[in-house]
Amino acid sequence: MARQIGLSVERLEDPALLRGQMKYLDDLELPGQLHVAFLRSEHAHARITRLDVTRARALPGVHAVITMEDMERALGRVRMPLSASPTKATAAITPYILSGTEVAFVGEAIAMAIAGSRHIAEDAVDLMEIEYAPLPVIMSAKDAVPDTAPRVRTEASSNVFNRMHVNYGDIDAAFADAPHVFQEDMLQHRGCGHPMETRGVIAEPRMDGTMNVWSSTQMPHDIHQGILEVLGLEDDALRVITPEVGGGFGPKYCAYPEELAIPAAARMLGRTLKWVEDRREHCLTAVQERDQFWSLEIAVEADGRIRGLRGSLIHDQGAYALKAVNLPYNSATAVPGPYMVPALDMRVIITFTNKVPASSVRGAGYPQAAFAMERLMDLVAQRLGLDRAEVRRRNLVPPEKMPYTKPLKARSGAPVTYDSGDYIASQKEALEAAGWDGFADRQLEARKQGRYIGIGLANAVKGTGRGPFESGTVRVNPSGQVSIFTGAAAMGQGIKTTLAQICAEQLGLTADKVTVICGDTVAAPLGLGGFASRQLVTAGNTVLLAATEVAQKAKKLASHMLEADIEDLELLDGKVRVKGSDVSVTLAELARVLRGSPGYAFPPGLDPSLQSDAKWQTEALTYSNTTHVAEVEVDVDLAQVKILRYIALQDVGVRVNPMIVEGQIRGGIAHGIGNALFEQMIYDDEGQPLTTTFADYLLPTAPELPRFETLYRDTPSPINPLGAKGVGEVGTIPVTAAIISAIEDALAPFDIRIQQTPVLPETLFHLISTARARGLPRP
Amino acid sequence: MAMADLDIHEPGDLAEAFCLLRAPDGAARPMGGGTALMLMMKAQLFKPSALVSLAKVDPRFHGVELSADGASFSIGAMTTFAELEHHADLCARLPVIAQTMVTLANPRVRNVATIGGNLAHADPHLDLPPVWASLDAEVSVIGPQGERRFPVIELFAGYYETTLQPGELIMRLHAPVQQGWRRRYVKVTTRSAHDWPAIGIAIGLKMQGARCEDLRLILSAATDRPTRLVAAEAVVRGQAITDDLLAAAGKAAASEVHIETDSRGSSDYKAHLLSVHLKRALHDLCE
Repeated sequence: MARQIGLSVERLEDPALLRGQMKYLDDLELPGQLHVAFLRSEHAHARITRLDVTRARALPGVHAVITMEDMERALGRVRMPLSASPTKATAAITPYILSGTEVAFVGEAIAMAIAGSRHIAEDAVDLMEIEYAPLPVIMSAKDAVPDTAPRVRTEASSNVFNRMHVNYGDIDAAFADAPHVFQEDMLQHRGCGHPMETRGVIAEPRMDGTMNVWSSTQMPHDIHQGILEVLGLEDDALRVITPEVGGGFGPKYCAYPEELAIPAAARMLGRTLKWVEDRREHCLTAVQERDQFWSLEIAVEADGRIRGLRGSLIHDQGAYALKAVNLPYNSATAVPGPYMVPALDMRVIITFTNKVPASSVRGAGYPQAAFAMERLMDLVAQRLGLDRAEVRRRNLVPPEKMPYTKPLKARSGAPVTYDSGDYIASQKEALEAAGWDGFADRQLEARKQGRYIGIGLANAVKGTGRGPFESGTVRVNPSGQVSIFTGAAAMGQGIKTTLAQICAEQLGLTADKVTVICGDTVAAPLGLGGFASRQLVTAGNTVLLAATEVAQKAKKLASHMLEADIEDLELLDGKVRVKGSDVSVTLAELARVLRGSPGYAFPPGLDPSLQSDAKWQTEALTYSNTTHVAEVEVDVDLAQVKILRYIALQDVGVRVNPMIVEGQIRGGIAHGIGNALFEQMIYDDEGQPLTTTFADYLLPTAPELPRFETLYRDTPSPINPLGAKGVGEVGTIPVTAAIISAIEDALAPFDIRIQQTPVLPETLFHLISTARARGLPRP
Repeated sequence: MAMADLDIHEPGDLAEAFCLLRAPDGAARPMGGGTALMLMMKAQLFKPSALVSLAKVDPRFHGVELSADGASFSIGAMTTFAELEHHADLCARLPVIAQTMVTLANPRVRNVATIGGNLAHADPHLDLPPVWASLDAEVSVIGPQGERRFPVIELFAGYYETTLQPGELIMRLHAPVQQGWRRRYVKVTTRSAHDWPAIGIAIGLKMQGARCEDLRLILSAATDRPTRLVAAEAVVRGQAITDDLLAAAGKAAASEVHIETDSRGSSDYKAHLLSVHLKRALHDLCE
């Protein structure tokens, strides 16, 4: 069996990308397609007092204008379904497909203009006459909580959408006689996902009553389910396809109003409709993670070992929920991270605000949890006069306790079990690579020259591979080429190459002999899609099982044809061969035989097709762990931070394609650096978003990024046959914590404590100025 | 967002251009490279009914010439940034231009954006206008009433506002080549490198021994137009350069202008950045 797993195979996706031949949604041109533009709310909260679309309808080139009333007449409903995810929430929390009476955030869709070109459609939107009566606006999640606060939506009985209590252990006892208790408040802002390709939808109603929908999404099967429900179609009457997707990062995890409004309108008009979101629309309407207000207390022993952790978290949900709200639950349950925390008590309040809905962005609440916990670890070290690494080492789950079960339940109800990894060794290895032990001397030396350098570290774990399953069919074609059909979603991360490698290894092939078909509800009617760093684990193991079965079937047939014992056969170079001989039969030939010939029987014990269909299932998550170390220099006169070194150690299990893993990790760290130092979605007091271009919302670019020094420990996951753990989000989780720890260390002579993300130069300037006013640093 | 419908003209002489620009609705707009204009039009901040390209109106809008005595460059308004960046004579005699180009937008923009369009746009965040001002450059403008020439710093009237009269077009820029001056443009971005500057400082310094004989300090981005820092110049001019003097110059600069708070920094922070960067840059230029 030729090795494929573990090789940095060149990505199968890249030739088309490099030649500019990749087909994204906007590259699709369907015959007779019309274009859609949306009228969107200009107010963060208002009643719509008048909407007159007469002039818009009259504009030459306009085919239709559709309002909420039209939508309601056609569909018998006005709201979005709450996706396929089961949830306890029953209140009116989902957005409107189109809003007609009240709007609750800037950018909310009100009406759609449909015209022969996008230009005309936008002109038609300009001709729509709308008047608003402004209503009180709630911008801060904290302001939303009191019962006396004006409602974010007048229909809501409360701005508090949900309260959750996450707890285990005896928290009162943990704090009652604790040698030390420390407290910290934090405001954590996380920005947006900002895939380079924005969202987009095409809906093609067909003469026979069926419909094809293309959407740039991470979740084609969710979209399929949503459209079926809203349009009342039968399963087989709808095909949802995702073309190549230019990045997801979370915003394409949700089903949006446009993804229902456009198919609905296409059906009403009997015309193919296309809408591609522009960047401003993306800034207004795609989900973000945004603000969490944390207040935490930690009780520790005299030696820094944790006794308990308690606190609260207020989460800014925005005006609606597009999905069951898991993000703050992730944050609250992930706080203990890789550490042993005997007692935990977290109270979570999720509030509505007059902003675009929040949902997962790469990391999904884990980066905030890591930041909170790592800030506390630094605080404990500082107050007890201990080395920051040593405090962590004393609390990390040691390898002898693996698998380590926490008294917490995952969403599936299964206990949270850290399956594998040596967290202490991971930290040690990363610190050695970073020169942690010798840093204090270098720091003193630098300070003598007036330079402020600092080092920071952060540990994190990420639950990956969320089940319960992903679908996958492996088929050997009569040409000898192999096809994989899967419900996994390719969004630029290289999952096609990775799955091809897993399959190829079982069949004695190279990855380029395997074609992967993703994102098509006809090719793979069952599937969950791309989120939670899950697809390598779920789809990867499914493909492994399916390909193994195909290999067995090929050997079984070959043993008949070659009259050889099945144990004497091996798969190599596209053939099944009798070991140590040149007697063989190609997989292509075997596939042709199993397609059948009219009237001839299959060999005994074999059924048609050289194909297998598998659905590897899991309830448990497999946990990747990381230790990141950042070294920074702060120019204290300018309050500017420069990252000098960045060391990132990951244990992401078996790396099927190390090059792809490396790309995912680097991208993840870059995302984290954005969260630490640059990215901020800013609104004014009236709820107007101020950062709606890349000139205002700053993503990190090459000049801001250091050379990444990556290290890997490849502890195979014991809970899946492949030994794989998820990768996509892992690199992001500890970054803000590591960088801010380093900044604080650099500024130790100023006695500065940083309790927020991101840390912009302006913030540091004020912290440094305040310290200077206190006579710091002391000569 | 899609742009609104419009006409594009490419007149072959100035008379035709003046005529087209006098369109009755007043919404005809001259266009150089169009880089800034297209962004504003796509954002629908600006909806001209017609664009009048200046590409072919007159040969005097083109070409980079060094005067026979080598004392000044004359630069056509339609010269692209890339042409200047790769102009051997100009790079040798006014290296501050090439230095400024390194962090100015990107090659795609520099291949298209023009010197005249950049001045006429009058966005205070632009990098080249303060540099031209620090060089004591002048502009020649031409309009239906004829031609006039004046210092480039007098061109700017405020955010996106110039002192050009209706119908007037920037035709050429005249940049003297002065011997013995050390120059630098300091682009201060507070966030990522591709951000607009929080402040820009164009500096020209002429030393005589340890003493500053003369200098030009032009602040951009933080003010509504490129602004000469007269008080800070006065602190330094004629003096021996010391750390204390530079600190005093920084303080003078920070207090002589009104600095706006925006997303790139508060007024306080930007004033602080100005004083620190001014001090550091003058210090470096003295060495």
